[in-house]
Amino acid sequence: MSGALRAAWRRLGIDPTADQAAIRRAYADALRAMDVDADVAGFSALREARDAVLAWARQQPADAPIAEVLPEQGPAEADAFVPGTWPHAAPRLDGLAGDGVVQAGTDDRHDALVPPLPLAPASGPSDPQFALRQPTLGVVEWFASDVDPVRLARPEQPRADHALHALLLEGPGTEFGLSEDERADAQAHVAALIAQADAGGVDLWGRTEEWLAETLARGWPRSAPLLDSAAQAFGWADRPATTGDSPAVAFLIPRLGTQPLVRTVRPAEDALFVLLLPETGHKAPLTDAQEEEARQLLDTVLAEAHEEQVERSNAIETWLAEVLAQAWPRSAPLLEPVAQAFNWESERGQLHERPAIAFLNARLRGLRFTEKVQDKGHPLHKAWVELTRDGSRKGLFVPKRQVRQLIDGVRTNFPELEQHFNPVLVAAWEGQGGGLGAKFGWIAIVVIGVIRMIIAISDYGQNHQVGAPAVTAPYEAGAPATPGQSAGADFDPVTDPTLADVLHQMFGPAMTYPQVYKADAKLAAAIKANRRMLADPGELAHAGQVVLTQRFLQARPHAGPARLEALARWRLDMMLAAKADGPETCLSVYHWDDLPKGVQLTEAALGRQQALARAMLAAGELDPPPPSGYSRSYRIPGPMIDQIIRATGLSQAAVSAVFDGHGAPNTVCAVQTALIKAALGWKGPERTAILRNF
Amino acid sequence: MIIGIDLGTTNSAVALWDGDAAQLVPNALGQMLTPSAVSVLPDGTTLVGQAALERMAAKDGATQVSFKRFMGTDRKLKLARQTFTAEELSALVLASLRDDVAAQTGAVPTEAVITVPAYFNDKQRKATRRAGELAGLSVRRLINEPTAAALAFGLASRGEHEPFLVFDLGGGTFDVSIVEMFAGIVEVRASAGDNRLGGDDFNEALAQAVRTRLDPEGLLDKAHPERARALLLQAAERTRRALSDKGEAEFALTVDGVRLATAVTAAELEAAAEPLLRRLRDPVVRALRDSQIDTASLSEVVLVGGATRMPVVRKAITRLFGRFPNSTVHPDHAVALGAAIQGGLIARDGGLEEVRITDVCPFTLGVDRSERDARGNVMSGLFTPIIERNTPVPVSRVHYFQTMADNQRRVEFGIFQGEAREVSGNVKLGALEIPVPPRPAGEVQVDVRFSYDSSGLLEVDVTIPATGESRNVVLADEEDRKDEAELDRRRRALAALKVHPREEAANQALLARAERLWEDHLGDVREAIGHWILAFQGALETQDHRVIAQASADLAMRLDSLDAEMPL
Repeated sequence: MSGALRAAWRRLGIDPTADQAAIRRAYADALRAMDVDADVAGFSALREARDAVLAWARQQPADAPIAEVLPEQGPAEADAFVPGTWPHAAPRLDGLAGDGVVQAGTDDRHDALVPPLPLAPASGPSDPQFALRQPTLGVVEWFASDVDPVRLARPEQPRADHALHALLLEGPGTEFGLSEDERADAQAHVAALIAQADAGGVDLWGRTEEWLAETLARGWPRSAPLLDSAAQAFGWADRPATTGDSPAVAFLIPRLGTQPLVRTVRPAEDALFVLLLPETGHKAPLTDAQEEEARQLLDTVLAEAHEEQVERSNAIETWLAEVLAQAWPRSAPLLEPVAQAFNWESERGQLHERPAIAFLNARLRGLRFTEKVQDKGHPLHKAWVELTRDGSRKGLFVPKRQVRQLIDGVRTNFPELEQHFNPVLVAAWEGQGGGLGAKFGWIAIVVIGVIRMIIAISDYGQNHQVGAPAVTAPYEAGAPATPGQSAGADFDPVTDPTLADVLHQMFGPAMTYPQVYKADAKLAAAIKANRRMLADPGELAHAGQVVLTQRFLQARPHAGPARLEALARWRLDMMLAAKADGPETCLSVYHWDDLPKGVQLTEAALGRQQALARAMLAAGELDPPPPSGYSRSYRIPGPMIDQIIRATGLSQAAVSAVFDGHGAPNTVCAVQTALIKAALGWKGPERTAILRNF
Repeated sequence: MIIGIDLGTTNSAVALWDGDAAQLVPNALGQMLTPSAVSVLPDGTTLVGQAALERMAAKDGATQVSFKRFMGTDRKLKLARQTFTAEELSALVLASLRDDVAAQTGAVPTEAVITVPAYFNDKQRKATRRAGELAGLSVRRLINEPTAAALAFGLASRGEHEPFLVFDLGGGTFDVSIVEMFAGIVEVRASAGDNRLGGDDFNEALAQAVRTRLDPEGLLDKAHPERARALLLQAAERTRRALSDKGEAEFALTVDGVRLATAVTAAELEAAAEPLLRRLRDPVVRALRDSQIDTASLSEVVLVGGATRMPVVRKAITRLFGRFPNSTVHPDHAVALGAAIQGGLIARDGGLEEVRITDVCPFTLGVDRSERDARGNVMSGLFTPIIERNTPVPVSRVHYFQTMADNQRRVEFGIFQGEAREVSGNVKLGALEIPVPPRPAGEVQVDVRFSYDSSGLLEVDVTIPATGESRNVVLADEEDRKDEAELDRRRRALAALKVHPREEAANQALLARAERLWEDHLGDVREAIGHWILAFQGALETQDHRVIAQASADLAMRLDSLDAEMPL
């Protein structure tokens, strides 16, 4: 037990206990004994002590002896605040961050896989405890070995146990709730199993009970609708959990009658997602037909959000915000109705404005400005018309001041609107190249919604007041334990070879866990948490790469010139490695900063990455503050664009399309690599902005 | 004796702790709720409560309602030839409640606990406190309305409560609080709200929605705009209440002898209220998120505030929480009862010693700061939170700042409350300046400490460790001290107002009601009401108790039968 926790127990004046009611009573007694207004510090200390031990108590199984449940030694645990149970995050997007990667956390006991969907609060913090004690047998084989398949199911139908297992636990989509059809099927399977067990004697009855409990527990909360019938059949409903129960039954009994919030896959959301973020990753505007379809889908989604209860509608809101932000500018036509439905503009400029919504609010203002400036009465209308027309010569009778004002205003407030301007005319008005040679005249403005950082931020909790990640694990169904590779089992981080491997890969051969821990306890905890959860060494190595990538990227805004250059070279290495694998991989790195599993950096590049990681770890730069904004933008000067055109051999139109967010994967890839190279060689003032933000 | 007062937007109520339970005190009309309305008769007499409300749409425009919305502002509210601030009008209501208690107990109370919406800002709280003082009540504590309601709910059902949510939609404000009760502790986990949303807005929305249909010829446009508005709002209120019980009701009013009427369905009300219903969601989400509690772990959703009676609101609540709300507490009485319980607690009444309340500060408090951006430009007016919203109070927090320029001579802080990143979007509570020793930029440290006590009093200390210099502002104190003389002058001015004697309140209310009905009716009925009024006034002039009592009973009966006939 850490010193802080021990002090907390002392403050409350009781011995460690997992009994939350006893903790509250102790707090109440202490509170009544004091005058809070006279002893403000004492009151905060008491509150903090209570919150800390309650958080701790919530992690404990109710009936375990204290000695067994005390958390292991570790300084991080003093801040072990309760994980929030607020379901959050963009459902389909998390997968893109690299599945199962834990970003950061104060204590890996509370960290978990980023759940692909807002899951049931009922699958709370105590569940991983159960997961640790799971039998490690392959469930299906174990059941099937001594049961005659013929008795279990009619020959023309799949076996009920196989089918149920598949429905609850196999394949993609098991993180969602059961659809209505699936539920009916699953209920039929459960009924069939119970009926067969009933006919089959005590042994089969017992085995069925155990198998079903195990399967339902693993499939929780997806399995929630099936719990009632099983509980009735096996008599779980009429009694409290006892020590004689199997862990699965003990897990299920308290959940009887609860209705966890599980997302069901909604066709409208799915279709909208696919429409806005098609596989190929390009961001061409929606066609008219697509837009019409998207609007209809959106109506359905919004109607659903309206009908749903607050967590769910909030989850839909967050999901929509992230999807619209990611799909920007493709999603532009949908922004207005969504913003209106959720009253996003009331959040503008607030301390707690969610980053994706901040990004969208800024775009919304841009859209509004574009609309208004079309109006002849608008003071900048003439300037707008001038800059958006074709041609290459400055127009007459256009006040210079207004044009200046428009260009400056757009660049400051709505950088993405510059794409509407005729670059040649902008250059002419700015006095560059005098409107003659187009080549050196134009610049590109690139606006990026920082999707990758969002995923990192969401781990900090949606609320800045909460330091700890607000993510809880489902009942560990995602990582089926296989013999010999028990992911959840305890391991010693100092001697564990798998952990050592991943540290070597991240920091080079000389780095040990204690060293990393000493330099950055949070990072060490995050790596350890991933080790705990990811059984497959390949997955783990990938997780290490993702963690490092995100830390590197988050460090960019704070990096000095030398470090910035090193980071840019590292990113170039990563893009080149991806390019060698194929244009799609390259695009994945560009959009999501994810070097897919199995794609390797070259030996030399890996060495450079490790050296950089070591240097940044030593300098404390791997724990950058969370990004403060959602969008970034930078300007690329004309001559640099010229360089890019020469280096890639592409046309000016193709290059400019890439900066507007379009283009085929290989084009995007070529332009982006050329941009990094050009920026590294560039001497002008734009260099830093590009290196920080590309 | 510490009385508990619910000073509401639409209605106010007063309650007492009688040593065993909290009891509401009825007003002169025998009602538990006194409308928060003030009116001035042509002869200069001031009316408070039901009588004033009846005069709301009178032609002289000498009635003010819903003035709580302007608490803490300098807005001048006109009553006949005089102008008042919202706190002065509130003081008149408080004084009338005080007199009701005096009439029942025989002793004039001097101390009170007054409730305020949880989301009331510092200025609004201070205005409320001053209103109490203007009414001659020493305000022992301001407590948050949902907290008071939670107290009433919790003590009524005794025992432990898992976190529950108090959903308080009143006439003009909306509050959400998440409260937990255990071992004699009432703990507010988080509060959020919208201090510009309430039943009045539903009236407004309904009036807007039907106006063109109701009055295609624009008759209302010819009336004085304020009077037209009052007529519409009054009719909307009646229709809205009627729609609580049935699917369709008539929206009717009489303007200058012309009766305008149209039928309104519940569905239409719902459509008109849609944007308002949507605004209920945000505070709920914020409170849940701040307290890290999800709807599934809430044990109850407790409804408080008259507007929660509306079926459309209940429907929206059921949708938000996925369950039916709890309506065991009386939505109009709970807050006053809770305030009385709090009064009992302060007075350390025997039956209550066990209970302790801990509340939160529902908004963020901080100072402005400047900072250089990447290009070296100074950006000022940025808000630095020091006490984050929903921090348990009392709390004391310190933040450190540095000087920005070489040889800077002084540092200025504005003190702000709100959730916007730039202080321009927040409420300024005060300012403070302190000299600093001339040193290179960044070398002088400035400590700013915010202390917020359990009555919502904010104290700011600024210290320069290098010189030991310090400044202290207790915001409430300073403002009060500044206008102590002014306060006294206003108190005397209010006392000089001719207020109808309490025993006549019932008659005045009856008379006002008769006059309203006269306005509402036409033809023969109107003429008959005119006769009744004359007869009643004659009876009043006799000053004979028995005659007056008889006449008043007659008139009340006649008006009742008339109201029942009204095709509303």
